[in-house]
Amino acid sequence: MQIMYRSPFLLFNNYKTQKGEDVMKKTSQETNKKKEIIGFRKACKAKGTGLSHYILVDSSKK
Amino acid sequence: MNKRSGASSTGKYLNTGNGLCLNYIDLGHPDYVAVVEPDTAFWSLVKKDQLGEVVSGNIIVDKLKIHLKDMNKEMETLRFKLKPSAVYFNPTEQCNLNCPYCYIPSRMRKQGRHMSWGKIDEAFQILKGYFGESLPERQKPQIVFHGSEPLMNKDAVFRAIETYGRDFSFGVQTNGTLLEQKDFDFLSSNNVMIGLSIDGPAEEISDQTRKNWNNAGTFKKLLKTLEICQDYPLLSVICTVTEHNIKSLTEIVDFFHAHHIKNCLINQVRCTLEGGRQVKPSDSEMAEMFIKALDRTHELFRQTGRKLIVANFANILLGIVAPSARRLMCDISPCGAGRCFFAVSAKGDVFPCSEFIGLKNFKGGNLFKDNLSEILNSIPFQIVTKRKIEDIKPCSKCAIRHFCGSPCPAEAFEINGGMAYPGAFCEFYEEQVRYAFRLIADGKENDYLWDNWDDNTSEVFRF
Repeated sequence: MQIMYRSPFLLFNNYKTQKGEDVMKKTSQETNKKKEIIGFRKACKAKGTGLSHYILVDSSKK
Repeated sequence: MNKRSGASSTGKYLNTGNGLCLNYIDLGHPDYVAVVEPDTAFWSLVKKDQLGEVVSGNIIVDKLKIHLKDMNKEMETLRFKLKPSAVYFNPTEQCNLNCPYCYIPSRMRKQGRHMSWGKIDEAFQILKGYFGESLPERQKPQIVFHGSEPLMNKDAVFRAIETYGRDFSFGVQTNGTLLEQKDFDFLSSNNVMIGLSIDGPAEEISDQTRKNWNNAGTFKKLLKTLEICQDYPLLSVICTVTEHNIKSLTEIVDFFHAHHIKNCLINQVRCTLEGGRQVKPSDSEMAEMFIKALDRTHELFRQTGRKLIVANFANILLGIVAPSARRLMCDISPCGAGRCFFAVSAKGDVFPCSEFIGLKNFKGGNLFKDNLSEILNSIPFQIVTKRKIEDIKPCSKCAIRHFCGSPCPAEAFEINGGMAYPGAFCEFYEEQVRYAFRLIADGKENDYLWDNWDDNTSEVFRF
């Protein structure tokens, strides 16, 4: 398994696309319904540092 | 013979001897059920009418066996090998509000002290030295000014941000009542993350909990603050759910979405102190209203194309689809307290998490008097960092134990009397995980997650 680097503190990684008008991402809705088994897993380098009182953000993304 | 267990079972059968363990979970979905290998957080959804055939065949087991070692390693790293990289820093004990559920004791909030600029400067030098040695050079540690209300000591906080902007990333969690346009201009020009606490969509709801020491509400001022901040990309909003606003969660979602909020937390009240316990909603009502609120975010997304991410739920969803990509470290065991982050009080006392600041037995030491590495390895810290789900009942046999993590240790300790007990909202987590799996079954999971959330991830497997 290859674990790749993910930016620390990254919570709001969406606003690149939301800075102007938000663009609805195409979903895979309905496509799963006919499958006998659904299952997947993704991995990255763990960098979670937040707690539920607060949302962390990667300010370098601004 | 299995070297680890000593049992002679060769492990060729599921769920007996040394065999792999696959738990079945009913999801309340018309077509699918889940099977989960709890230790690795491996899961798959199987059509109900084909469950027996699929499980007795080799499709799932073979996939599990191929990736078992890597998934175990991933969970081991996530759970036991991370280093602290964030500090929740209280620059003052004082708060101008008296919210009934606050986890900071009222005597501190009412009569407490500020940390002077000189002491903040000294503290930041210590933290800079510590992180300089413990973190890779490219990783900037995060300081979150937290409460009580950090803007009660605004001048010192802003001076710290100006002075140490190259050394730390900064955030401020505030009740919003002291934040003026010029303050926002300063914070935004320094890329400081702003978290606002808002508990309701209207005065009569919000002001039941967000009120000052004279019992006067703050909603009108909060609205003004929200108007100042609402288009700021680094804004998030926290709604604490109590019995006062539980029935208004969908309206709260409408309110946040109408104000173009992109990220929020809709947090169940923590029950560490008595004040929180007194306004706690029931698990079943919390789950019902929370799920209606999530449904509403999806309706709004479909109608407008704009997402309102409910980050605490998104984190559970991430814990299922990509365990290492989770952003918040409450719903993993051990939780992040003391091992991913720690808290510093206005006196310099160091605790595993802000949630422990009112519990003096969990003080690991003082930043100005003791060595920080020794504090992080102190007995009070170890009590928290070694609280693991395998030692907690009923969590040790729960199939979703690594999607929930049995939060929170402070709450468990205060409510149930020890670390080997669960916290306050077990059933609420059960319902959230079931809802998350139903979304996955319907192919909707990405609608509830940040766009591009999976940048820099790799796919381990897919059926």
